[in-house]
Formats: sequence, C-alpha cells, structure tokens
Amino acid sequence: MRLNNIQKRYGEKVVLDGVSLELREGEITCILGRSGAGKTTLLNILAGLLPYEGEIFPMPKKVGYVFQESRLLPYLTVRENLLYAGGKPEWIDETLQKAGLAALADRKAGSLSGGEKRRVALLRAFCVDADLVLLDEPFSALDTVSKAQMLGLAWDFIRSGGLAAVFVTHDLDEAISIADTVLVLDEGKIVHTMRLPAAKEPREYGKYAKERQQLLDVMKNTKELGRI
Amino acid sequence: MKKIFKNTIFLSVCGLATLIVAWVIAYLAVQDDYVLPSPWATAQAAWALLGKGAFYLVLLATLGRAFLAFVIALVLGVGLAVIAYLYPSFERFLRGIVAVLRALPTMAALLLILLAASKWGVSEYLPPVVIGGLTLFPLLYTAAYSALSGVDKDLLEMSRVYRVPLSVQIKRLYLPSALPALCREGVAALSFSLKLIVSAEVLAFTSQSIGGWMQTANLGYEIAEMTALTAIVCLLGILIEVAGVWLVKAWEDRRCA
Repeated sequence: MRLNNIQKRYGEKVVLDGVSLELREGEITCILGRSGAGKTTLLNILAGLLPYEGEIFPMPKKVGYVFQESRLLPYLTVRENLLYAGGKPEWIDETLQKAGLAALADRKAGSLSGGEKRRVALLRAFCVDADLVLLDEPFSALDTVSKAQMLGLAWDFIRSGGLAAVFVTHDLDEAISIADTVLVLDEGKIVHTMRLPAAKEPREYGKYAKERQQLLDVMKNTKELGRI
Repeated sequence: MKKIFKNTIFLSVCGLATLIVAWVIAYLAVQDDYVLPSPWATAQAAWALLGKGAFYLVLLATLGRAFLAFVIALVLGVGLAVIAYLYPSFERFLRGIVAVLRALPTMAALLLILLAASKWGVSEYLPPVVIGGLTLFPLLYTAAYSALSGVDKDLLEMSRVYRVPLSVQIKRLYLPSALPALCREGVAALSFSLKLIVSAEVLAFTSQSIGGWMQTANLGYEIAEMTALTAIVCLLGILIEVAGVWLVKAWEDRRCA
C-alpha cells in the first residue's frame, strides 16, 4: 500500500504536510512523534474517518483498529463484541485460544479488567479479515509485563497473518521492539526514516542502543504542537 | 437505627404518612366536608366506588385513553427524533415547534380543541387524547433525541471503522444504548399521561370517564367521592411509575449480568 503526498488541514492549520510512505504486508511501520505531530490524524485517514488530499493506493477494504481506549460494548460478551466488528466466527475461537483468552469468550465485556479489555480490543483487530491493522498507542496504560505480553501477541498476529500494520507510539522502546520501519513525524512531515534489522521475535531494547540513541536525537529536535 | 433511615421504602412510607397526617390536621382546621373531606370519609367513598362494576369500565376507558395518547406521542416523538438525529437541519426546524408545544397552556388548548370538536361533530372522546398527545409529544421527542445523541461517540466511531452494517448498529448499539433512558422517561410520561387525560376529561366533561365522574361528583357536592377518585388516580399513577421503573431496572440488570 502506498501513501502519496497526504495533506490534511483544519482551516489554516496544517496537520499533515505531504506525507508519503509505503506499507508492506507482514511488516510493522511505527510512527513516532510528539503530541500534535499528526500521528493519530494519519491513522484516522487510513481508517477512512477523515477526508484528505493526496492518494492512497490501494485503499484498504477492511481495517482493524486498536484504539487508545478499548471501545468494547459492555453489555455484549467478548465473543459478541468480536462478532459485532465483523469477526469471522471460525477465527474468533481460534484467536481467543491462541491469545489464552478462551475462558473470557462468554463474559460480558463490562465485567472484564482493564488489561483484559485491552487484550480483547487487540484481538478484535485480528479477527476481522483486515488488509491493514492500525494501532494507536494501544499499550500506553499497561504495566511493563502486560505491555511485553501484548507486544508479543501483536507481533505474532501481524507476522503470521501477513498483515500490513501501522503502529503509533511515543515510546521509543516499543517502536524498537516490534517495528520494521520507524518514521518520525514532526509538524505533519516525516523528518526521519529508520529501517531496523529483521527479527524473528520482538527485539530486546538493550541490543539496539545505537538505533535508540539515533531516534532519541531526532525526537529531541522535534517541536511539541498544541492539539487541534 | 441508621439503616432504617437509609431504607428508601421506609422513608417513602414515612413521607406518605406525613401527608395523611397533614390532611387530618387540615381537615380538623377547616371543619367543612364540602371543602375538604376527612381521610376516613374519602376511604369510605373509595371503598364504595371499588364495589361498583361501572367504576371499572370507566377506569378502563380512561386508562385506555391515557395509553392511546401516550402511544401516539411515543410513535411521533421517536419517529421524528430519529429523523432529527439523522438530519440536523430538520432538528433545527423542529426546535421552534417543540418549544411552542412545551410552553402551550394545556387547558387553554383543550378549550380550543373542544370548540373545534363540537363545531365539526368529532367524538367527545377525542379531545382529551389529542391534548394528551400534544403535551406528551415534546417530552418524548426530547427524551428520544437525547437518548440517540447520547450514544457513545467512541463506539460509533469504532463501528464506522469496522464497517458494521447499520442494521447491526441499530440492534446492538443504538437500541441497547438509547432504550434504557427512553424507557425511564417513557414510564414517567405514561404516569403523567393519566393525570393529563383525567384533567382533560374533567374540563371536557367526557362521559364514561374518571374525569367525567369527578365533575359529576363535584356538581353534586359529593366531595368525598371526588376526593376518592382523585386519590385512586394518584395511586394508579404511582403504581404505573413504580412498576415501570422496577421493570426497566430489572431489564438493565439482566442485560449487564
């Protein structure tokens, strides 16, 4: 999937200014940036929620989106939530099994803990027959252990499903852990692109100190913009 | 001891008992059965009414009219609320109309409707239903529109992203989200409808109606009977509201269990 010269304005304010990038199947593209850089706007454009100028080719037929909040229907069970989003019944049980959440299938989403809801929201993106998976800071509210588990889960599903994924975060370590390509967004423009070495599993942070420092230096030079 | 003072039923019963005590004190102060009958005379009159077969027919007729007015207002209110939700221009168009209906002096409107009804030879049973419907419509429309507008925007956005069909959104998101609030308002409106219809029947002197019987009792100085009819209507209104609220709560609890 190719994005060409994506522009987005709110009145006079330019949020995205000529963003071009390529998304590959089975690969995770991570977008880093400070608050107000345009990260979530880019995701929402890919999700079909916002109008834009530029070209996206081909347009994804179906998108899986892991929001910052769980956004589950509390009065539906876990299985019903996954079905609601268009999850294929034959995939749902398999996916829940793989994630170790089969026991939650018939529980009402409103009765789950915060961590369980995040896991279900993540699984929802992988139960539908999506061309593209978008993840918007999905692990920000989690403790270290849960975060590592969820990153591993996301890695497994994306790689085994051959999905293209865009992962937004402001956490350098998360980016280094699972991304194939890291883009740094600043004032609506891509200011840095880094390709990380191939890996068979989520990378350990400590082994990529040079890449981490490079990204940190780039991030330090970016500006923090007010939210729209 | 503290638990008793937190018990809702106990406190509500205390409240009602206070009202009755106030009634007794007022009766003793007024000392005129044609102005304010005693609670025991009222209870006797109520007992006599409950022993008459005709009373139940008349009560059913009034309840039927109250229910009809409620249903008409509900169908119109919800239907227009859905259109207003989908088309913001229509919602802005309706705002003025709803404001006028909300502010309309009910009894004055009833008098106009009665005049029109007598001129056109319309059934005497219709004006109370019309006035009931007109008064309830803005309440139910506003409740339905608020319920729809109150559906979680994040869930709606999620539904858009996942391309959830509209029929599924209506069944799984809109109805479960909007119905509890609408039901609660609906229960209050149904109870209010009874009060409205009876008031309209009194003014219109509708035959075969509780309001009509009240007017007859009033004209015949049967004040105890009039008060008894009032108390019965009051009690019915409370029962409708309590039963309705309990049913809605039971449904909500079952849904989230």
